[in-house]
Amino acid sequence: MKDDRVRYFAENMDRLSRRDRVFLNNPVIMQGLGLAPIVIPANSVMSAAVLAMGVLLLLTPTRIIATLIGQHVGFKMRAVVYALTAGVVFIAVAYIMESLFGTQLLSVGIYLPLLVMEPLIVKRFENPQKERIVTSFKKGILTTIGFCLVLFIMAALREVLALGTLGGIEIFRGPLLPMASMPAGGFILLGVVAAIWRAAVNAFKKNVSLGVKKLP
Amino acid sequence: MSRQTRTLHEGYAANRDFIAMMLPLYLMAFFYYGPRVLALALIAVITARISDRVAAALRRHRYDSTENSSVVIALAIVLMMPATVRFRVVIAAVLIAVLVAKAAFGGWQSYPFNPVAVGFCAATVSWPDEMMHYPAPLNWMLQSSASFDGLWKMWTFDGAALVEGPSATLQAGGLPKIDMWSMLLGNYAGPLGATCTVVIIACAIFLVVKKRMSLVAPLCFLATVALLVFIFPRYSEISFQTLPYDIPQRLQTVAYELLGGAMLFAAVFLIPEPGTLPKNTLSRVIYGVLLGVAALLFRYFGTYELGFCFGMLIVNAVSGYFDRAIAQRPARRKGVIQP
Amino acid sequence: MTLVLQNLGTFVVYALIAVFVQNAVFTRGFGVSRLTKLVTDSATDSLIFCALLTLIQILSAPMGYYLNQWLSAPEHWYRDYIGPLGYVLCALVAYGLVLLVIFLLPLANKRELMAVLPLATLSCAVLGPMLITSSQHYTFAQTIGFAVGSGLGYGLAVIMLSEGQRKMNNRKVPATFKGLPINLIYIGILALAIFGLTGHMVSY
Repeated sequence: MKDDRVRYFAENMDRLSRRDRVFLNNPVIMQGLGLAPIVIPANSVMSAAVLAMGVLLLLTPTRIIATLIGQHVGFKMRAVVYALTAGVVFIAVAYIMESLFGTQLLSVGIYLPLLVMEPLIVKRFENPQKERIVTSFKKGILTTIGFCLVLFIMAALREVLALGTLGGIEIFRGPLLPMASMPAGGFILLGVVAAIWRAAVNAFKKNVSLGVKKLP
Repeated sequence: MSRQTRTLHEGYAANRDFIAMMLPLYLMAFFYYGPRVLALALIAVITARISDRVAAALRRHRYDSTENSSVVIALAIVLMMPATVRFRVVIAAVLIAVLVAKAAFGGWQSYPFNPVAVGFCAATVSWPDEMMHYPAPLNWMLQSSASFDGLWKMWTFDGAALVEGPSATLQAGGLPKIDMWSMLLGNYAGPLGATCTVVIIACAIFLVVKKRMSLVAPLCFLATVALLVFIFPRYSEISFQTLPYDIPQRLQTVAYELLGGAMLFAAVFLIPEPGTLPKNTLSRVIYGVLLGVAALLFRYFGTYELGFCFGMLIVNAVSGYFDRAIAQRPARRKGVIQP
Repeated sequence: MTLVLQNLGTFVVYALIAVFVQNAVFTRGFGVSRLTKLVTDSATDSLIFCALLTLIQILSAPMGYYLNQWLSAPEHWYRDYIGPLGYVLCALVAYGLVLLVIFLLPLANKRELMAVLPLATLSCAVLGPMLITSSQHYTFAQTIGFAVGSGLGYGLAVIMLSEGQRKMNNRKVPATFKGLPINLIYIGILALAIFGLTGHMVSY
């Protein structure tokens, strides 16, 4: 690593490991949010694309609108505001999704409407601090990217292991492990991916702190 | 390093005895199903050893070659599979058992679930047809002509008729047409090493004499299964109305349920596994009884013939509680003043 | 009288199905995010959480049933769009009712209950069973049975996972697996065991 980058990472590590929603503080791997859609329906790249689109359309608008309304209500009512906002935004999302994907929506079944109460989307209500609109927009987009990254990694892995295909294109004959497309395989595989990811994060942090010691 | 200074792993001797007791089963399997069985075992052991090395390297621990519990796991998994199973199924099952069920939880004796059961269940749900259809024993000898074609058929079981085990007949409400001598000697289509009752009992006696296993949990397990099967047999011509006159048939059903479907094998090689067996005698009794109930529930209402492994996973999840609940009871001995 | 018994039977059967064969956590992954958090930190009492969750489910299930009856009329073409909002409203009404009861009853741990209640309401484990019962057109007795069973099944999962913490916090577990990853693998192995009952994936 270059010296200036090491210095940057070392100075901002605390802040980054709280705020970076893609690698260092990924919502799925580090905070354990949004597990249900990744583990159960995302067993092919196609259904992952449907779910990713749903989250993309639902997460950021919900967060912004709920932040706007949430500034005027007490902390006790925040849960209600977030849930209702997600439900209302979902009306538009469902309409767009149906015109985009049509019958392919069946591959994710109830997991698309279930996003309305997914902690990934409504978890913010637990935090008593108020946030600004710009922050909620930025965090919403970053959380979406972080979630979709893990979603696609998991979906690709599960599809390759269970069917030997990737996005419908055959890679090799005969499945390696059909269990990967089942819930059990999803849970176990996500556990393994999470462990590898966490090891990578730890290695990165260690690398930075070693780099700082070597700085002139 | 010289042989004298090398320290053996604490579980080495017990595992060595378990491995030694699986060899007679492999000998019987070789007799029934031919050389392919030995190749399956070899592949499984090699996979297990490589997985152990990988796990040690990932954790940056020194690889301890005397920690041989993975070999027991690999050999036990193969013994419960049909002889026709493909090599990739064996490799996948052993990889999951050793890397996921054992290494991820911290290795030797710190796993909550029996790795053999995990690996076997993973293979069963992945390839159910392949795992539940067995070739007839002694068929390979008929194929073993000197020609290349004959040898190849002997190896691949190409064209051999595959049948379901006796448990499938019981599930359909009938009685299997296998005489008791065949049941005792393992001369029927079934898991490759888990059918030969006589050899399994001999192995169990050896292990008990060498104090490698205690009989409490296995016996409670077998007794529970026998009792439940006696009361609720799957044979459709028996009901509560025919009760006093159908006792011979009930006993016959009990024998088929106990001897078929790897029940006895599980009692000897899976239940005494030291990592998941409770420590206390009373909790071992409870463990055995619960295992019997769970195994039968999965057999009666589940989809897979060897339901025992699935039931074992559920019971393993709660078995740690018995030891604690019993240890927490205040000691009520004479002469001890209670606070 | 036979009708009552028949419905009672349906209720019990569907409750059992929801607890074991179609366990909310092990077969459909409802509320896993909350579950893994619940068992790894000891701040919130997991049994209180499960009790409140079951209560919310029992209260919202009949409302969800009647809402679904109304929505499935052929002239309501927009049912797929506003359905989730409707079920959220049902859950929120149940939330309000439970909140009122907690407020009125002389309970010692009022504050704690009121802090846990929103978490128990805004959970996939509440919305998920409602979506299942409505998309598969369950009858009233089936719906209630499924709701009760889902709550109890979630409780079962919590108990099993809390019991497993003892082994998962073991010193020998690799550092990178501690916490979420090992919990996921644990749930995965139990899901594997439950799969042995059905032999196929449950519909969703």
